[in-house]
Amino acid sequence: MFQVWEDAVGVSLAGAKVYAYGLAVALGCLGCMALLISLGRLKKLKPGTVPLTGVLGLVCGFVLSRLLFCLLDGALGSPLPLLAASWRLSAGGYSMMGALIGACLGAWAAATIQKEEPARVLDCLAPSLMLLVLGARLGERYIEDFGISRVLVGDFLPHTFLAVQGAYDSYLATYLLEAATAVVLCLVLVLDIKKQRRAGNTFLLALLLFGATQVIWESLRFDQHMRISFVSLQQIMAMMLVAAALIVLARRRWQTRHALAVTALVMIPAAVGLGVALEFAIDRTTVSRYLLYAIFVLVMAAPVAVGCKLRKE
Amino acid sequence: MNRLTCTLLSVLCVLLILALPFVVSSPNLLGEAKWELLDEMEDTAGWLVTSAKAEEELTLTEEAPEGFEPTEGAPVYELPIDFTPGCVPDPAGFSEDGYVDDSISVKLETREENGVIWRIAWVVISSPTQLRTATAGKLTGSATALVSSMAEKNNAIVAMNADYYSNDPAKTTFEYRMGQKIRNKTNQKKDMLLIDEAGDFHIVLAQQRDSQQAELDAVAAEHEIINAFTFGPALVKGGELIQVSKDYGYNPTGREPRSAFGQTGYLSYVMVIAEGRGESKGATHQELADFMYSLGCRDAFNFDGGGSATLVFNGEVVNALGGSPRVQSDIIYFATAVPAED
Repeated sequence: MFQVWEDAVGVSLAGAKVYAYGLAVALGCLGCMALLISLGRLKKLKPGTVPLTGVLGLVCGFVLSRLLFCLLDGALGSPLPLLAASWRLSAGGYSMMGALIGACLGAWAAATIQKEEPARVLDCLAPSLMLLVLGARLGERYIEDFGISRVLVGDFLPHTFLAVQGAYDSYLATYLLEAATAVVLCLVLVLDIKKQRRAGNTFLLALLLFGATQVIWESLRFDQHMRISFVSLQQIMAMMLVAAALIVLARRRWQTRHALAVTALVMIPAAVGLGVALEFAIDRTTVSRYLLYAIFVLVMAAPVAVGCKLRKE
Repeated sequence: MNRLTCTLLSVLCVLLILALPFVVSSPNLLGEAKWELLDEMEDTAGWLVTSAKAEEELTLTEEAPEGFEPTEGAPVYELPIDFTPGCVPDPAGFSEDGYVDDSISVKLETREENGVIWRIAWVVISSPTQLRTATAGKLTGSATALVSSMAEKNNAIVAMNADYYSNDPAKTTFEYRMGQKIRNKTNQKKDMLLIDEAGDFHIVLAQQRDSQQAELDAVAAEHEIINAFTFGPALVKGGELIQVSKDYGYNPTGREPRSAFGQTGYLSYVMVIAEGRGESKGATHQELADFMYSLGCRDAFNFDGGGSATLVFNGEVVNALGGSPRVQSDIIYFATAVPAED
């Protein structure tokens, strides 16, 4: 029943191909919509806001996901042939960051049409999108040589459930780590939205947490998806999410918590610089990868902690 | 918004979601789509180069190369031109510094000159089919693996890293592996190494597109291309030492670990690693060229250096690595063609 077409697992249904990855994404979207409906009721969004957000979010998310991939993926060296072939959807090629940013833009548009405060809609969307991420990451299991790390060396990790066996070596299943993170973030954000009074705070927390965790996971990934040489473009976009949140929070608190706001802004280039140095060390040195990633976690935790402090009313 | 509109929007939402499994195939470009798009891109060479077809698994030939002296009366076997591993080497053929059987001779040597440690593998084979390449995954994929892992699985007696073709950002390269075309684009900035059906090297230098294509045409007209690489710089060509340009790329004048592959005669080769970033200070491109020339190479080519420079003998890494083990998309290796006794 199941067969592998090229690099993706799927099944034939009445002559049409149904891809396992697409099915996982669809299930993620259904989960996302279900949670969005629930949170929309909690936050008393206007009737029609949620379905309109769903439609516009899906369309914008799909289009931006495809466009960003075609613009930024280095698979063919030049973006032009990919852009020219962007309509050939079944050829594959989608960007998670593009999908999420597009969904947020769609939500903003829906809020504007509905004369709803966009920040309230984005607050409801943020935890819901984590379910889309969960579905998509679990779907990566069905893509060959995808969602995996550099080769694992050593005795411990290759024999755990976190490792996948390739033709020659073992690799860390980063898609599992990202899926688990999405679940945790969803729970954290749902708890936060129930407590928050100021619109936009939950969305800013999502940018901080998702961005910071994605910087780490994208560093672990080594599957040539949207990479130019050793640079992961999705890692850069993840860092931009953290930076955007810190800038908004710093601006908000510039008068009342000036020192902390300045610290937040200084932390952006500091985190970027330290991150680049750590990436260099991971790629070029023999320093323990466990140690380097532990430092990486601390480097990203610091701006998140400052952002959370700035967020407090 | 009225109820009807809400309902219609909800239905539309569900329909869009239900369409996703039919449309969203993969977050990455699928292999077949990548092949098609690469072929459609501009600058593809207009001529077709025939891929070598897999031959019968074992055939007997009577020729033996100069410089190699198999056991008298022993047949010369060949391996198929595909990605099947080489024959399992005879454990009795291994010594501390090499391997010998009726089809292959490998000698390892270490030299220290002017603060640089050179690891050298001299190889003589009886059939050009014993000069092989292996990839970590599909030809258009992005799979990577350790050089030592690929060498072991392919029964390599000696192996080294190649040009890590899947990592090339520009993709304007000319790449063949075991007779299979990966890309056949010209490149005005990088030199190319082509290995033909007789195991002979053909070096094509970086130059204007038309003249480079003419050279590639000339090689393709007379030979079958089995393996081709785009990296460089070329170090020795046609018996002449090349003065490497300081603008070539890959830190040409810096002292780095380096890897190079040379041909010294018919079915006679040398794999060389210059260690660096440690006890050994590394080499510049010109020093590498000078060294390959001094070894008697008639053609020699620089491959990926730095942390990628890896020489593996009998499954073990021979050189001190310039960092943690770096994965590669492909390797070059030599295998025995003598089938293991049951």
